[in-house]
Amino acid sequence: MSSFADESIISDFVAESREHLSSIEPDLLAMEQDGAAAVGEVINRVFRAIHSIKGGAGFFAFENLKRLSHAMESVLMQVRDGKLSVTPAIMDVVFGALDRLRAMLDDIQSSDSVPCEKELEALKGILDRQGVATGKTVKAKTKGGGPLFDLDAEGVRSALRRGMTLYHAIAYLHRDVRDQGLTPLAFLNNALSVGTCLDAFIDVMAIADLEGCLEQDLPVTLLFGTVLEPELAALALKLPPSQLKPLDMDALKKSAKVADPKKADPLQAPEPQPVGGTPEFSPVPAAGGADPAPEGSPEEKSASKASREAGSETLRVRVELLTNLMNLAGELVLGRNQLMLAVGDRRRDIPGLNGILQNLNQVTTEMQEGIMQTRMQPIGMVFSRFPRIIRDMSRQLAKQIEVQIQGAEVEMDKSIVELLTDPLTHIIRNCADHAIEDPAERRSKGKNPTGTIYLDAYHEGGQVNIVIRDDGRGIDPKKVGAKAVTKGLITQAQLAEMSEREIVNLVFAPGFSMAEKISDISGRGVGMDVVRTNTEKLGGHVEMESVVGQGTTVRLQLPLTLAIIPSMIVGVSNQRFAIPQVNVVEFVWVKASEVRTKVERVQGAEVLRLRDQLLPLVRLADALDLPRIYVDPDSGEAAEDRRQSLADRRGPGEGKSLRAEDRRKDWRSDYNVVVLRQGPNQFGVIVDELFDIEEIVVKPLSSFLHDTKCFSGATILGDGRVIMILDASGLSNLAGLHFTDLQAEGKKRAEKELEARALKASRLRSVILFKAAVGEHFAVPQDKVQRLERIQAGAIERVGDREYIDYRGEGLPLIRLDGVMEVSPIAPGTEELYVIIPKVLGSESPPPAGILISTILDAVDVEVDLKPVEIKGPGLLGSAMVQDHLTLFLDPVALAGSAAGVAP
Amino acid sequence: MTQYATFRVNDRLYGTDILSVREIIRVFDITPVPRTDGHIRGLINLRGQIVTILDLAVRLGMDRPEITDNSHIVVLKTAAEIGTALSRGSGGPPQGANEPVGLLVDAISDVVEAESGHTEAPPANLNETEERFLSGVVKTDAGLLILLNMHDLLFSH
Repeated sequence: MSSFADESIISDFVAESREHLSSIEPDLLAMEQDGAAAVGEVINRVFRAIHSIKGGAGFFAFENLKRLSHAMESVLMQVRDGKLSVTPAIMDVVFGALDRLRAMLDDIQSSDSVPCEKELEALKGILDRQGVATGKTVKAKTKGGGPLFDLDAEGVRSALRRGMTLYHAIAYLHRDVRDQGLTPLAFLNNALSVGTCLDAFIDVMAIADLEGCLEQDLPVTLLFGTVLEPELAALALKLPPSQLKPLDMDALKKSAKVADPKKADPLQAPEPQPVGGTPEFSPVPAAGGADPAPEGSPEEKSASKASREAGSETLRVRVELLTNLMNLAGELVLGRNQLMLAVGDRRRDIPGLNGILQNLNQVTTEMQEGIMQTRMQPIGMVFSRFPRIIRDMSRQLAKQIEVQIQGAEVEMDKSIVELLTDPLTHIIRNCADHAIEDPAERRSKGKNPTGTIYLDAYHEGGQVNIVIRDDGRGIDPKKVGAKAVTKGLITQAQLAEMSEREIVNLVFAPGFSMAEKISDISGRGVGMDVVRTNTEKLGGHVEMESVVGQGTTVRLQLPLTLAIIPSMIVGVSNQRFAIPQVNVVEFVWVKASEVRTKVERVQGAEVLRLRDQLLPLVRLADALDLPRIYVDPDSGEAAEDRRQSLADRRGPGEGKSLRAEDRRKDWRSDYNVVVLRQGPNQFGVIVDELFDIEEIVVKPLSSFLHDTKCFSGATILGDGRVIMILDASGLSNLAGLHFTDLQAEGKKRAEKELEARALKASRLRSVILFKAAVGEHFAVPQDKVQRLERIQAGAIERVGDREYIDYRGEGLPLIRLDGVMEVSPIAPGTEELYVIIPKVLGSESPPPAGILISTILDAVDVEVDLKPVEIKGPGLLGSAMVQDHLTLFLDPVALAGSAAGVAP
Repeated sequence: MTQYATFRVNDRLYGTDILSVREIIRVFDITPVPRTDGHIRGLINLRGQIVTILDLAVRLGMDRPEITDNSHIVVLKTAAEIGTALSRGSGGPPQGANEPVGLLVDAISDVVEAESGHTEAPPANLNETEERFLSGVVKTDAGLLILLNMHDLLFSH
């Protein structure tokens, strides 16, 4: 039946109806929340939306849609009239019906096969309890005979109570609707603004035969109630008066058993319009009357009028058209780039050309931005679904959950908003299902029994951040870690190295979700890897933070748009590739001469030491399976590079030609490392060449290209060539980077570094350098020396073989170095001598002996590695080069002790 | 009568219904795509549209040909351009059916007319090529014309 009507008209109807449904959902939620206090305007809006869907459904003969929306309307009418107070149970039914309507709209042509008996039954149940006779019909016909209609008794009664006259109107789909520049829905909406529509259907009987039906103009029958006189009603409906016939009202009243209302001229006693009438036709807002609901206040009318005017400032445009425009804008950008390239340096040759080009440049950029903006959609499109989802879930789970939304106005590209729906829904469902505790548990923890889920979106650094936060039980890293280990995702050793935050983020690991339901840990595991995959597909990044007992925060970072992005163009193996600038952290130039020191290997993989961090390196050529190209510095010829690693710089002696040595110094042997960011991890990509940063128009990859995980799309450069766009996460996967391994390695190195520093500190000593004989240098650690005493040779007293000096009133034995080891003696006749008095640890008692020397050279800090010496002697520590002299290091304490041991 | 656009690969004459061909262009600047199937020769920019180029020789199981001055690209119509001729049976057009694709061939040849009823099964001696991509042969004045099964050629794995 519905095929009678034009496809495009129907799709308009479906689009409008969908909008109606999504716009009334928040209203319904508000109604439930506010209960009896719900504002009349809110209820009216809902009522009106359902009403117009019903009207349209009748118009196009979608029987199921009409029946269901009619039943909903009846229930809503009870609510509007104050006869029925809203309860969650009733709202369950209404929401259920709403979903069913939506399902029907999704495939309108087969809407009649969508089962809706359950919903109808439930709605009817409500009406039955209200004592509203459903399905009871009243026969009606026009005064001059004509066809007989079955009308819903309650509807008729309601209309009659408002003092309405019922008309039988016929509207021809083409002549009266389309040719007037109206859509059927607009026509209906117009009708609804001056009255109420009891029924609408396509009069099949009026169509002579099926063959002719397509050419024939379709008559739609409308049973229409209004307070207007026939002439005015015809005018308001924009129908010829002949197509509007009043029904036999007296007969109708009798059969509907309605007491005659105040009667007479409706224009003088206009009842308030049932569905927010236009001011033009009801200038006097009547108080009271048969209708108990306070409707049609002047404010409300002006508000609805204002909103209608605001509505006319927006246009509905086909997405296809926008996409097309977008592509054209992209082409224009390319054209501009090509033009700039072609004109190049010659732009000054033609007077005025420069200005024109600049202007073109400017306009193109602005146009591109403008068109991009048309594709921008508020994130609220996705957010607005959640209050309803949470409402349903909290009913199911017997929890109390509130949703708080911020930043719904933040805009992103349509494609991103659409692709975000699933991941966000997933996160929200997890919040409600697992994170938020039931009210009793919350109360026992001293929390507000009502849990809250906060949704927030904001711009930051050219990206959009979306934060989903709950105040639930949080995630216990211990349990997640244990689970990850039992699932074999990480090893116990790896777990020990991980921070709590890293452990919590393991819930995003693929495979983690396959775990049995982990609601005992507060969930958040089921399918979170899908969330991450989807986010990363969009060029975004997702991260989770959690505090046990206080809640969990999931943070998504996403690009504003996917369509046009600034990218760095790099070259490898004579091919060019684009890297989105969002992924680029920095560019590091490793000079050929530094390669050996800066690039090393960890577990077989190359890493770059960059500011004390280990950066895994990927050779783009290897990752993409391209031959490595080495450009000969002399001939400029490209040849395949066979070096196995970056650090492999074979010297001349290793069988390579001498040129290898030159190559090391040639700038072409330098390494261009582009540091990329992939989530919290960074890695370096080695490329051959670096070109400009260009604004590129992303074109999706053809599905003919299978298994190319390293690319996120393709683009056309200013010179007309196609190049591929590299995908950072794909690259890191391809290169098999194990960031956790590297982090562990980094940690290990940091520890080693610390150790080395400690060791170095321990090796650093303050020493006193001295000589005994000419040419022989000695050193003693300063900390083992108590004092240096200057003496005259004459002050030495001899007792047998022993020599003494007077030290603090006592005789201190002297040791001559040549007496205890094989060194030269102090030159005889040296008048001025020194005595090293060793420090005796832990006591002030006089030292056992002093060491006699000839000259003190210096007191310095040296860092030495002592080597063993061939000569033997007590207290000899070893030798080292100090100030270009071989120096013997002595331990004066040991030396003096040994000498004293010999002493009597 | 059906008109066939014909072209040579490895000195054999292949053809497809001329209605499935959008245009035939000379080879220029094919951007190779690393790490993808061997029969994907690369991408070209055809007046602002990125067209995927299949290497017909490789697809038919032969060696990767050198590109010469005679090499051409046969750009095929997308499913939307042909109607749904390529989408046989149920399920609508296969994935990629509306993405532009071109075939790299060694040389192009004449347009040949033949009775569509006169096609025969491909002879067994064509066994060095992937038989599943051939839909039959037609005898023409120019010699034996091998017809390509475009649907499988493009979309089967």
